[in-house]
Amino acid sequence: MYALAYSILRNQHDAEDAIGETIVRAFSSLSQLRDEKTFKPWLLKILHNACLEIRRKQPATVDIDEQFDLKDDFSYQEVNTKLVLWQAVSKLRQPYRTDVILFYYENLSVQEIAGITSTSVVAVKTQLSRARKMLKDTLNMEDFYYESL
Amino acid sequence: MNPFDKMLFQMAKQEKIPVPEQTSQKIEDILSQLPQRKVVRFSPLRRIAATAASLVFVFLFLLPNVSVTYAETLEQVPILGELIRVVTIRNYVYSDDYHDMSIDVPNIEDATMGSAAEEINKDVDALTQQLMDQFYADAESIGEDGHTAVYADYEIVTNTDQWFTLKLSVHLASGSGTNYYVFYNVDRSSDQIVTLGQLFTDDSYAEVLRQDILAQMKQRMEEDPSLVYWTEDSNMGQDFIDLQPEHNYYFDDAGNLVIPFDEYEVAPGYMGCPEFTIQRSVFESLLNDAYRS
Repeated sequence: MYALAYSILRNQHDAEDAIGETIVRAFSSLSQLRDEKTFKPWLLKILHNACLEIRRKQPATVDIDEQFDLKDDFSYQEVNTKLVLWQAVSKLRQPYRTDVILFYYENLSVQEIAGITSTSVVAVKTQLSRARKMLKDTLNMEDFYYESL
Repeated sequence: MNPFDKMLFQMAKQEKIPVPEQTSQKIEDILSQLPQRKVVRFSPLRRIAATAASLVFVFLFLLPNVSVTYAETLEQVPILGELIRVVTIRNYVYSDDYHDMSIDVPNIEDATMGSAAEEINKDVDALTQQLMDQFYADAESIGEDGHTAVYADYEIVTNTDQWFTLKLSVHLASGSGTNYYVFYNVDRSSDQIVTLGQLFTDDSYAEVLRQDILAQMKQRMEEDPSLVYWTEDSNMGQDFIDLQPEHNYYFDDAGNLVIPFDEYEVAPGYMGCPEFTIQRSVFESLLNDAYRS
């Protein structure tokens, strides 16, 4: 949850607020969850909506993506040099960041991602395809070796 | 699964995204409050009122709009040449102070089209259901805390002896809006839906079209400095033109190929959904025999 919230909001405190809001909403509407198997995408959908609402309330003159600087990123400062993919994902624009996190980190299907992001399966597939290409270029560009993986 | 995809899954699995201690503590605090119900946001009265309001909308707005009798009163029957008739059979609407939906669902009716029409109609029905499900889920989730809107309609963009092209337009609005299109291109001679990739003998078309589009982008920006296309991405050092075999396209009446892009795909949002017309002479030699002049 934190990875998704942070990737959208780019701010620790906003991400905390979004997660808190999500927990509250999920708790108050848990009875509406018809199938336990869909809990994860259901919860992430609530989180995605909460994040978008927080973004909408922020000043329109500030572009979160543009003001973001990896050097200010907590994960960068907390120094985990093995976060190779996370750093590459952080450089992606939206909606690619969200798609990649939901697909690779959360292991959701493209259908579930389309439901969460309110778009079509075709659009998600296209975005993921483009994101893969960008990630490949970034990982190659930074000379990361991954053949052994 | 290709090796790179497999690698990404493995990297994602191995990389544990650190959650700041302060965040963890805050989440634990919220969770610890749940059993006391301190976080319940809606009073029972308000919940009943919301349920009643939902029922009103179901009976007054939704049901009349999904009934055939009602739909028939809305039926539009545009006659499109002598070739293919498209009938609007459903118009789903919903509206309140916070949420708005209007979806026109087309249905292709044409004796000369068989499996292609069936396939499109089935696909459109599935998309409609997805949009409606999503809309009602969002409306319920957001309540009075925000605004959402879904608008969808269709247009016949090409209807010639060889090609029939149906364009679905979807606009999703939650604060800022997002537009995307779905194009169905039917080769009338084979009664098949044809993707962009299937038009050509091999994959070389993608680079040929990409270069032409890139040149058009640069020319447009030279002629009008207010226009912006992402001909080079500042982060990745490459343009955003990525013509996959399933990319949207259609033929105009002159037989030229038109490549549309979704909002934000190759340009900032304020540029809308750009389209680029590729002259037939550019790609004619790459076409499969069935699609050559």
